[in-house]
Amino acid sequence: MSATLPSPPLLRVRELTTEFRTEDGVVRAVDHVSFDLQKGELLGIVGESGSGKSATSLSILRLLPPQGRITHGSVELAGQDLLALSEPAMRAVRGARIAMIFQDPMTALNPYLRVGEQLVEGAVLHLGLDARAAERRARALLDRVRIPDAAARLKSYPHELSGGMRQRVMIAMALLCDPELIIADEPTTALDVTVQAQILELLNELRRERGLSILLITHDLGVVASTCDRVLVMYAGRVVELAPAAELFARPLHPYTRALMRSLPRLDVAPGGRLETIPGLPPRLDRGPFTECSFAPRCRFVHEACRVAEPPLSEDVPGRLRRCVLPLDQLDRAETTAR
Amino acid sequence: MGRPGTQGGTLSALEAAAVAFGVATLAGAAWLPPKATRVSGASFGGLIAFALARLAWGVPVGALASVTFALVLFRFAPGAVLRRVTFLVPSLLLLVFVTTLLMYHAPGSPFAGEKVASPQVEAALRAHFGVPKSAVDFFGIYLRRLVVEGSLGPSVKVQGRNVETLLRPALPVSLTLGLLALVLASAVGLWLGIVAGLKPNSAADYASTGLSAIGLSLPSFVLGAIGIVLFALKLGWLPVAGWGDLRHIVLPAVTLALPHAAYIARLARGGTIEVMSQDFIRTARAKGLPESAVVLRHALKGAILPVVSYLGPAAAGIMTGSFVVETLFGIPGMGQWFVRGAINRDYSVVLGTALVYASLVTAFNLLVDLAYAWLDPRVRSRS
Repeated sequence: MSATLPSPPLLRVRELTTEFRTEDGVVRAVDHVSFDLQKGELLGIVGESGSGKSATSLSILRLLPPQGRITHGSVELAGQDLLALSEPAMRAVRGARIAMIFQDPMTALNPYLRVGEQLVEGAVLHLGLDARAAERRARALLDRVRIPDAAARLKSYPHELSGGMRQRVMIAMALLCDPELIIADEPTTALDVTVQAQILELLNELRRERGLSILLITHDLGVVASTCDRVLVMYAGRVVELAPAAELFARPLHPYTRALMRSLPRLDVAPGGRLETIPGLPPRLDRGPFTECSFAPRCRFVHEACRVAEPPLSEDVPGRLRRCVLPLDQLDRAETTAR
Repeated sequence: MGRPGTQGGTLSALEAAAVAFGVATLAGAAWLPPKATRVSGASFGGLIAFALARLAWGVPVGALASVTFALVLFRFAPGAVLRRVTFLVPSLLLLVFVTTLLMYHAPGSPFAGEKVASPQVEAALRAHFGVPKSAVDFFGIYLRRLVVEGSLGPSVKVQGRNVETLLRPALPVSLTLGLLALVLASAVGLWLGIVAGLKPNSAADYASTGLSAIGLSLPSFVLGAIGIVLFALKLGWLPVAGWGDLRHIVLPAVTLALPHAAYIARLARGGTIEVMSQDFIRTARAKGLPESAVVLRHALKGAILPVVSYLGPAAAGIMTGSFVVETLFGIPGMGQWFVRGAINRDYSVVLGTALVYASLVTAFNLLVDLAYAWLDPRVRSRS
């Protein structure tokens, strides 16, 4: 895939594997995940809860909780292996070169500190600005993310702001040190639908304006369709499909992606009609390596070949990856007969 | 003390009605509209200022000072403070009344000694000290003295002395001991608790939790006695008892502080664990802040909130604890006067100490409330 793009990727993740110690044993939340993120690109990672998308983002920043550990793989930012850095060197990356936006801006902002205090500390730390200059910079950024009366807002506490306003503060905070990469973990999930659209539009604008790369983590296919360049679909800690967004929505190549899209609410379904669901539950991840395709128990196209071993990722269509052994024409045919 | 039945018996209808009225007034104060609370809080504040200022500067200057103070309160004090002050005066009145009732209904009286006085002599003494047979009458005399003369009344047993002259030298002693114990308890408790909470289930955590279990389960008279035996008698590092220089204060302060240090450690541990699991701590780390800044800037305020709200009860606990500790170490503080007053049925002494203790606890609780609001902006904007 990188062969089709001339410049080296900004972020290069290879076989990233992350495990959590739990009471039921070791859970492999991220299992040999590989992907590239180009400069200025917006890559979406979609998947349901527990698919490993958040664990992937926390692994990149090395912010896993104490039970979590990266056991294998590499994460390179502009050619530098982040997993090999010392903790102080990694701190110089966090907030300065990779910034993060979290899901719920109510809980992600410190309720005991004024917005301004939280906003400026990154600039003081990474850019060495004095308090005055840092505050000027923070105010300019609040203006940029379209927060009215920025000077007054710097003195507010988070609980005095609306949800959308808080997320704008989070975005301003992320932009503070001009990072190359922003990881946005479900940035719109806690917000109203209209505010969601505004926040996504803002992120997209900032990306174009500053040549930012964004890793957007979401469970919402609608968000992906409206903003992303490429999409990575995760299931049970694995990459099951990777494709340019337009192509993914035009023709998903993995049975799981197809099932996800069929279970979206649609306007052309008659009122009272039932929403389609994927039967069963995601597999448990604390039972050691898989001996079959991880989606096989829930797949409507499952056959013997799926039960033999976990299928590898294959490039059946140029520029796209999928983890399925069923040939594409068979998949399409099976789907038409299933309807 | 014998002679049960000289007084006491059951509560009279008048006394019961007065207590019920007091409780109802206090409950009613909670329903006052904010504007009325401002007025009542400011005027009560002025009243208290007058009582204190008159003693220092006399009536005319005191009156002027108190009116000024009341106006300043009305104009500038936060609503929460005025609400507190509104409760303060009725609760202190109720406290004095209920304490009076309890003392009168307990067997014995200040005039019941081994030498049995004739009824005529007792009646003369009662008139002289202002201690009539009826609790309600005594309450009236006591209040009149307090408000009009600004005096806590004469002591019956320490003849020729007023209660305020007895307590004046004792108060700084008790305050020094109590505040030192409180500071010690907070410092040790916070340190132990935060260290434990930052690394739950580590060796440091088990050590701290174990220490606080010991501190919580040992009563102060056992702890104090162990301290005396070990550090005073065996090692000879510290004096056994008494008051005077710094070495005298160590054992009693530690004895008073330890149970509270243990409890504060538990609260701080819980608060720290709770705060460190919050999303905003992850945000702080994602900014690249070093762990020290994450803890000090982002976690500390939230972690000590449960401890701050315990400081009010802790202060009350340290004061009651000082009854035992001051007696154990022979310290000439307020606690000794309270104990002696209760044993001798020296009514004015008991009431005086109770009033001073209650005022101290209330003042301290007010400070704690203000500190809490300062630490947690969400509380601030609610009031």
